[in-house]
Amino acid sequence: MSWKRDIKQLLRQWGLPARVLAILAAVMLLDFAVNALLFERANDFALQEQEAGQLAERLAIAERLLDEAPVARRNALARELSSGSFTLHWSAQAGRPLAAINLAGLQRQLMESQPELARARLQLHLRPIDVRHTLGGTMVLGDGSTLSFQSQSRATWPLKAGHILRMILPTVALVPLAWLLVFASLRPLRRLVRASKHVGTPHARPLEETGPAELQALIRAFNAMQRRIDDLLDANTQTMLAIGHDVRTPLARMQLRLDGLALDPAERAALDHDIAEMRDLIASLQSFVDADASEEAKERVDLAAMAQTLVDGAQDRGKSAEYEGPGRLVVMARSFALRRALSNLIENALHYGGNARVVVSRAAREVVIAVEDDGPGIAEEALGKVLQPFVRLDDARARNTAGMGLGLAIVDRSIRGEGGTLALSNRRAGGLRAEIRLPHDGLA
Amino acid sequence: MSAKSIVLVEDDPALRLLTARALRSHGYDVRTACTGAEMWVMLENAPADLIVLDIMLPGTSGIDLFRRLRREGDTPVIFISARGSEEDRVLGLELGADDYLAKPFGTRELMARVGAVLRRTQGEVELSSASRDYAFDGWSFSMARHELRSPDGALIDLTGAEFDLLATFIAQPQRVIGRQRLIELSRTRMGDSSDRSIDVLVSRLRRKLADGRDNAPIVTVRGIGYMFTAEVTRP
Repeated sequence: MSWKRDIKQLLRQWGLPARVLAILAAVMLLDFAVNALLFERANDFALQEQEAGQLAERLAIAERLLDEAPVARRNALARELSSGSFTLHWSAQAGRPLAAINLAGLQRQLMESQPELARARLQLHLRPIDVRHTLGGTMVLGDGSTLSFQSQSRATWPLKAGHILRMILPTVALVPLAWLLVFASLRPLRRLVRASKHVGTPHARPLEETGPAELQALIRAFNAMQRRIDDLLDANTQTMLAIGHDVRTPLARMQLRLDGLALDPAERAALDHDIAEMRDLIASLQSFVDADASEEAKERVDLAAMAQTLVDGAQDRGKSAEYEGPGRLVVMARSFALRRALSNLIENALHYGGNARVVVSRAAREVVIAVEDDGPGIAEEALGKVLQPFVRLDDARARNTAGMGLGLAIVDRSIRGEGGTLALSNRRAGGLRAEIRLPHDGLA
Repeated sequence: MSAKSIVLVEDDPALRLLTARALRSHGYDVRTACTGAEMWVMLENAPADLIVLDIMLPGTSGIDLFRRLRREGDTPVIFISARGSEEDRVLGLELGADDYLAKPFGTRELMARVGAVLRRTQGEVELSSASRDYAFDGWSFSMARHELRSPDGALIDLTGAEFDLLATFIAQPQRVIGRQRLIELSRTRMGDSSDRSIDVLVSRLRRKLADGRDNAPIVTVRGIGYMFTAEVTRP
């Protein structure tokens, strides 16, 4: 369907002004259509035969009597002929109100009933906003003076309602249309806002260029910016990894040379420790990069067994660690990422807090894994900072695992990669609580 | 008994020299190559008991060399990698390498890995790389991937010691294994290899294998040791 594509193409080229104009045109068209319809209805409007006959007769009598009466008597006569629901008023001037709605049908109906009304040039009008449902009209007497009348009739109500509707309809229609316009025009903008939150993360995707021309230009610029940022981050990551890889070989040489030397045991232990520290540093760099770029697929993982295994491992090394939670809890996750995150939190707790307590529990749609310790905790103002990579805090209470202070940043990245969250808080009883929340779809 | 023959393929000259020296000092007969081509020539001249292969080599990568080695024979291979990520390690082992050594490594670690692979392939614990996957009661146990999966496919983590213990049980199903023998087998893993720590290990393993049922397939044989009761198959 090429014409469909053509229209789409055309729409895509429209700028904001063109869109506003299009909406205005649509509203005006609607207004016109409603008016036409309403006039059509007013033209065809008729009173019930009996009511119309009575009205026509009263009008004809009034017209005849006043026409024949002397000018001085006419006012009084008009009052005499008036009754509760029917009032007459005579005026010497020849002036008629503009008919708000042309009631041609009703006019014809009345004139057919009393043909002499035609001679008096009967004109009917409907007072638009009038709670008393009045039908009004004028007749011209022989000497050019005007006789006007008001007659109450319930039957005119639907016409009135239609009239009121006609006046408010454009407004009523304009509000949703305007809302639609703004909503539709801003949709690409909202997507842009959402997308900007993902810049620099693995979830970043180029945006489709849709919407008004101005927004398309913005999206194009945004995509280009995002590409540049990705390239920069990529280059950054690649550099870090390359350095890591390149350092591994000389480190291996160093370690082997050291092993071949006859050294004082204390000296050897210190050197071994230095090399181990460098190795850990490179490994943590690698983990940090992997936490973000892992292509590992999600699989069924027993989170409870994982946490227990890490706790058991720590106990085997003589550390104070305990596990509290179910014996079995299967989640969908990337096992390396999750294990690394848990392991980092437990090691962190052991290192800075002296002990680790892992509490696993299930909430409605998520799994909560809390790693607590009884150590000094983290200064409140530093809580947010410790999750940032490469940020070192001078405060001795601020945690930085051996190396670059990447430990918690790795956890944060890994958990976000799993669609979960990491929150740190100081426990009231003292110590730090690191809480991981993972989405859980209720696997057994 | 003649010295074991090892071919070391490493492109960094200094590291090649140092690694070879370390291996020789532990009684191995070492030949060194810096490319895949050199390795093939050496293997044609004389077969090797073990090949220590760097993954990142100029020209043909270690992975490609490994694939060809596997097509032509089953000489055990230990990968050396400058990428230390866990995913790499599993990739190497999944390909069927016998072990994986991340740089930097020390002499002690190198010797432990080389020794373990040579012992294993010698037939002490008969395990050829092709058939190192096992199944029991719906569970699957992979030596290559170093992992245990429950009947519903969930990955169940094991500590190194637990893994070794389970591997020992699986290698000798329906046979009573003495406590003393288990202690010996797991000594490499546990610092404190007392009777008690074996009991702790067994109870942890039971807990993980229980899977909602009343009893795990490990029974205590009073005064002697333990027995793995499930039927083990090789898929």
